[in-house]
Amino acid sequence: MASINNRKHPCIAYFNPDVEVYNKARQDLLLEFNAGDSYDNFNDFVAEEAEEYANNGDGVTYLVWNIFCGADGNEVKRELVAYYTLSATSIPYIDRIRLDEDEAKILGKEFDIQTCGISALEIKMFAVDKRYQDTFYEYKGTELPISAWVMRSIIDDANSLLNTVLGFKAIFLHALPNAEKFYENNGFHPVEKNMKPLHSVDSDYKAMYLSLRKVHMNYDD
Amino acid sequence: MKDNTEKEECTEDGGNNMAVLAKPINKISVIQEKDSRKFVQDFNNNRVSKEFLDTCKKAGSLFGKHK
Repeated sequence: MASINNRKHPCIAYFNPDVEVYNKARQDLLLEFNAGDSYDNFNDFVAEEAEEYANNGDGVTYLVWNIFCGADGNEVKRELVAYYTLSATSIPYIDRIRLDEDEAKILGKEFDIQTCGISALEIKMFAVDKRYQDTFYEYKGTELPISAWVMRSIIDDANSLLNTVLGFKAIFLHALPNAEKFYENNGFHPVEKNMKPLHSVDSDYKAMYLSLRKVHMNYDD
Repeated sequence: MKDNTEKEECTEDGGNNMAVLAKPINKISVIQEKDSRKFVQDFNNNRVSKEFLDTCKKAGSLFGKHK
C-alpha cells in the first residue's frame, strides 16, 4: 500500500476539510461541482439526485468541503472537494454444512446448502472535483492525494462505526476501471476474475472489497 | 484569507487523478459454492493492517473527527 509519495506532484498548501451530510441549502455550490466533462452524470447526481436517493433509502451522500477562513477565523468561502454516497449491503456467498449421518440419510444429501452474506458498507458513489484531482496534501508528515485522504477518512469512519454503532465486516464498491489502482493503494482487493462472484450487468466495473473483520465459514469438505 | 498555491507540477500514476472513482451497481449475484471457500479465505487473509488503519486514523484527524 502506498502511503507517502516522494515524487514531484501538485500539492496544495491549504486544506481545511469539513464533511457534512448532503445539505440542500448549499445547492448553489453543489451546482458548481465538476468532476470533469465526461462525468456529467456524477455532476448532476450531487446537484439534483442525492436528496431523492437518500429519501428512497438508496444511500446517504456526504459532502467534503474545503473551508477558507478570514483573519478572524470565520468562514469566507467554501469549495466542494468531493462527495461520496454510502449504503448498507451484503456480499452474498454459498456456505455448506455437513449433515450428520441420520439427517443425510433422511434427506438424501450430504450437505445443507445455505446462502449467507458478508455484511458491508457500500460506497455507492465517490467523485472528486477537478480542482482537487491529482493533488496532494501533506498532513502530520504524510503526503497523500486529496482523494486518498478522503477515502481513508471514510475507512476510519467505518472502522469507528463497526466498533461502536453498527456491525459489519467490509467496505464494498464497484470501481471504474481506471480507478482500481487507487483503491488497491487504499486497502481494497479486487474480486478475482476467474470467480466472477459479483458479476454485474456492467462488467466494466470491478467489484472490490476492503476486509475489516474475519468471516467465519462453516464450509466443510 | 489563505489560498492554495501549486508548488510543483508533474504527472502521477496510481489512479490519483481520477475524477470518478465508484459507481452504483445494484445487481450482484451470489458467490457460488465452488468459489466461496476460497473467497472467504482470501477475504480473511486480506484483512486490513493496523498500520494502514493508523493512516486512516490520521485522515480522521485531518477531517476533524479526532481533534
